[in-house]
Amino acid sequence: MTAPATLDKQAGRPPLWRDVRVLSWTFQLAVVGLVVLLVSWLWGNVQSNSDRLNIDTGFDFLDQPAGFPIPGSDFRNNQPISDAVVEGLLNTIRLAAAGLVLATLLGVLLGIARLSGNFLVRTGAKFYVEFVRNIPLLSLLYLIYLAVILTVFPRPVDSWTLEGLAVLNVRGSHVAWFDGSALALIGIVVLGMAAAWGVGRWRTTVAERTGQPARTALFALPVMALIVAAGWLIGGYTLNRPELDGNRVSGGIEMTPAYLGALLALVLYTSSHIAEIVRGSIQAVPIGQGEAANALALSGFQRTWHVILPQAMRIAIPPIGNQYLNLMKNSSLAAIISYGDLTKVTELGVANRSPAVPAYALTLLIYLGVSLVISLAVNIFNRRLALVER
Amino acid sequence: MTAIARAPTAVVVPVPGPVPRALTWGRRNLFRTPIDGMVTIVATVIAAYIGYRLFQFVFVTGRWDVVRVNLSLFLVGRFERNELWRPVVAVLAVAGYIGVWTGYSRTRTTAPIPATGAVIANPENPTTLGGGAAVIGAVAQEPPPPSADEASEVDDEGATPVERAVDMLGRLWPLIAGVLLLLSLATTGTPWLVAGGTVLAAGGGYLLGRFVPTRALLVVATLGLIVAAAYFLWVDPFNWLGVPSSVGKALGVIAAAAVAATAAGLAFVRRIPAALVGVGLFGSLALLILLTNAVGWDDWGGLMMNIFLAVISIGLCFPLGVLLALGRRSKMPLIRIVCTAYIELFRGVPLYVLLLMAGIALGFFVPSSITPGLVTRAIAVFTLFTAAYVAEIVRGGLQSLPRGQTEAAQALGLSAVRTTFFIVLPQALRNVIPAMVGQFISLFKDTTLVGGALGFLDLLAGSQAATRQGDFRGQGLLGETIPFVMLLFWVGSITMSRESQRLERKLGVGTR
Amino acid sequence: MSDRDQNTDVEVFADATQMGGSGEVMIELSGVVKRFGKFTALQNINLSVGRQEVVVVIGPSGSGKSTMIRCINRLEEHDAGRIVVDGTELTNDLRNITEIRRETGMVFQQFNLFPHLTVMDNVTLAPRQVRHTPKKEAERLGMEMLEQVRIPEQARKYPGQLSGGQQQRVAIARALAMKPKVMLFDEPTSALDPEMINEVLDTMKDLAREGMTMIVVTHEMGFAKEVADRVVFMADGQIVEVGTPEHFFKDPTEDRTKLFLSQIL
Repeated sequence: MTAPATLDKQAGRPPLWRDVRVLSWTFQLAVVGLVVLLVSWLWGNVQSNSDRLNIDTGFDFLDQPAGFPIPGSDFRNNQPISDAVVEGLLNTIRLAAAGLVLATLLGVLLGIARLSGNFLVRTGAKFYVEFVRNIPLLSLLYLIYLAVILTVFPRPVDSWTLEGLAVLNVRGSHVAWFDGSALALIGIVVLGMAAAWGVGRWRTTVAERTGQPARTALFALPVMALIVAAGWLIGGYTLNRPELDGNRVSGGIEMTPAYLGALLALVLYTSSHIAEIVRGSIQAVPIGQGEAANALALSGFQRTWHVILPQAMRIAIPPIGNQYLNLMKNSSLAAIISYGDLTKVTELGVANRSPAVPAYALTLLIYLGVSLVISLAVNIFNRRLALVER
Repeated sequence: MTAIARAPTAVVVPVPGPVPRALTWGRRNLFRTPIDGMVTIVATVIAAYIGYRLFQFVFVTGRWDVVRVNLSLFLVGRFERNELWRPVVAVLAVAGYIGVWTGYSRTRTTAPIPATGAVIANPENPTTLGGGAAVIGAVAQEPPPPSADEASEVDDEGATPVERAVDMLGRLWPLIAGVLLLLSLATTGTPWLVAGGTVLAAGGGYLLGRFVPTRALLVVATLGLIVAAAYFLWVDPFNWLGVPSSVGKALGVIAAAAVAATAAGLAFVRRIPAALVGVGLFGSLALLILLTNAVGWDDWGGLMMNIFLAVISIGLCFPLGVLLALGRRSKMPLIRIVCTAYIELFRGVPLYVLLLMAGIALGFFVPSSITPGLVTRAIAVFTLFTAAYVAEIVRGGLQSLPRGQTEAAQALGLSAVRTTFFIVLPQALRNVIPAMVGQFISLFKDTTLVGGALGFLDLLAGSQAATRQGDFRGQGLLGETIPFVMLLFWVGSITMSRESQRLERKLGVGTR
Repeated sequence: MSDRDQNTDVEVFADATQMGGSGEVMIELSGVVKRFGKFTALQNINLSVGRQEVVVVIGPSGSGKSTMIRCINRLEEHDAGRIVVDGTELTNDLRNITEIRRETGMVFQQFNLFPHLTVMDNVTLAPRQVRHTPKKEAERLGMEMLEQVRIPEQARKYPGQLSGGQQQRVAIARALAMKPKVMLFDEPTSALDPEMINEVLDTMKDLAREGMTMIVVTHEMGFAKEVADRVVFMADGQIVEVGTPEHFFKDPTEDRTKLFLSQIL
């Protein structure tokens, strides 16, 4: 037998109904066809129902004047709805961003507390986490807002004051804030962090060369503080302190009761989940790692910083990223207590004659977009940290 | 003179007596360092203060009448008082069924099947954090040996009944305490009867499952199905479809007969579990109809509604979720795109917005002749939403299965469908049970959103409704009702969470 | 061994067309090419395996030996060339693929037994589902196979309860239950502890004695010397040398072969 001269695989082509490729594509096209049919039926219904009720299905409604105020902001009735949507989205971001930062801080602290050597600290953290983790977020929100803020917080005349820093009452909470461009301040902070990182790199190089400990924090943190302080002074930032005057409060940044309630609920709830993730991730690092570190005579701090935490962090990033997504989505519950977030704006819009399907579709798309951005950020972070494997 | 090295004579030191264990524990856990000691003192003061205020609130100043009087509002909403026997029958039936399953599993003596691939952890129990630990473990060290010790720890085949009862008490104390709390708040004797009846039904079912021989059990199951068929004859279950009564009854009997035949056939050809599952599915259908036939959906409420929504949604979403997971991992690109799009869409949007949309905008998507009720809309949203999450869970299970399994099946000539059905799904689904329980717990808590979005009178909404009844109005009683509702949810959630942790340990979560 | 030609003077080219066995061609690979992205795993493979012939394939890792036999039962799809098994060509025709998979049995390095099924269920699953054999007959057949691999007493156990060597023998029985014409072995003993290798090799030797056509990818040189009709050496996706065991191990022709043998023997 000789090897065939040509590599003709096409010879003897199987009949169509038995060809695996044909079968595969036929099946796919059939499924996609079904999906397309379903979607077009749904869309057809939307069209016919809208026509019947004389409602628009386009996005023209975005240019109409809103006709409703947004609680907690100085949005005016006659501004177009698109402005309202933007305002709602900003409110959502304000709530979610603050929530993410605070929940992470509190969650990490609680997670570490759960592993503390001190029995009381350990058990206290355990009670807190095991309770809050297992209740619905909405119940926590109701409790904090309805039963605490609206009932327990004092009237403006009797506001709780933390000298120069905060004034709290049932109408709103004022916290000391800065006067000046927020974006520029963020830029200054970022600059400071970059400088700190640069200093860190320099110290690491020095340490590698001389073998002396790097003591990065000792050098980097003052540098960052200096830069921020310099930026503060040069940029003319001032501290805006809230002051109580009779029954009015002036100054500082105002957090409406709804914002405060939603923020507290989100932070308390999400931090309990993050605490469990942090605890679990530290415990998931194989015990042999710590043993090896001890055998190498690394100190407790060195063991934690160089061996345990880096591995724990890699384990923890995906679930924590998931919690971030949850927090962002859960922020929509703030609409129930009339916080002017994106969901509330949509609700108000639809109640004021905006067409429901396009309005909600737009809202869903915006939330989806924010979700994807957060997911992407977490994925990039995760990939950069991933352990190198064969 | 040679210097002779001599060992120094041993100095006799009096050995101190044994230190009481409490003292060593205290020293290690509370006062290890001076700072530690200070923290302990501060923490003790805070804990004592909190404890004192809590005690005061619960037993002295708390005005619990609002809960006592409105207990049925919390539990069943505005369900017709005369028809309450229906939920009671449902609870008894479910308790009996669980009893039969538990009893039956005790009779099976085959060795535990080790999990293949990583068992996917319940994300509510991150102590195991399956995936991440697997990565670290694979790189850092050998995977831990099969947990024979842990398995024997929870494998209580050899324990005496008393030991098992004590163990169960230790595990389920939140549930038992919760039930006792509810009973203590009851103003009539009926709740006690119901509770007692439930325990009897569960116990009776257990004895049935444990001691009745296999064949007899099958006969009992088939008899039960015949009874259900007779019930369908009587009750005309399909009249909401608008078909004439005789047709509806006939359809009911046909459905009953079909399920009965399938279950009995499966059972006689294969094993009992198929028959029990058939009875379960069929019984659920019958229970559903029992519960809703006379009473419209709109009068449902309370804890019953939360449980009902959660159970139905997770049941309905399961097939869809499995299909989506298989589709997402398919080699066919179009299928993969469609499934991925669905999953990412429903996982990227808030459930609350979807529920709002269902309340207001869903009507646009269906022809105007159909007006789905609010409960139907809620169930539809929960089902579609949860299916995406279930899909991701099942996908994790599919990924954890070694590729060699499908290859071996293909090499044997098994078709793709048979491979999936006989080889892939049984293993993958078994691996994701803990994570599925976690998803169910999430769903259970998320059912509270129906109060805010669609105006249902679920358990959480009941906490506000109770404070608006008659004398209780305007007294700031939310501070009592909301914690009470929180407690009920907490009991449910932590019980399920603990059981799934136990299951995870039994199955061996994480690396193989 | 069954009677076959002793090819002592084998012309050694990449074209390994001479073969042993009873003369009929069982498997033929002509000009087979397989690419994974930019990497070419198989470059122009030409090999004929005769009925009842035992071919042992050796070579360094990454040489394409596993890829080659995985192409034969379509676990990998070849990009060019022809593969013909017992007269049926391996194409995109679903019927051909299923036919070939029914006629070839494969034994994997990782056993790949189905852990949620008993040993008996593992062995009888395919006959019942693919050949539609009734249950009782399938179980009878299964017991026969288990006896052939000498572990009939394990029939009701689960794979997780068996040792590695026992599991691999169950895997062999499972493949045999489909009454294949060819048995493909992909490094069957590489995952076994040393003390269990022999029980599996003995089973394979029995199979060869009974006249099964076998293609075995392995590192077990003893097995090759004892049982093989021909030894094929592959490296870098090509067949470098083919010959009888005597020729191969005593006096290989190619330098690459000599290098490899010096590294392992």
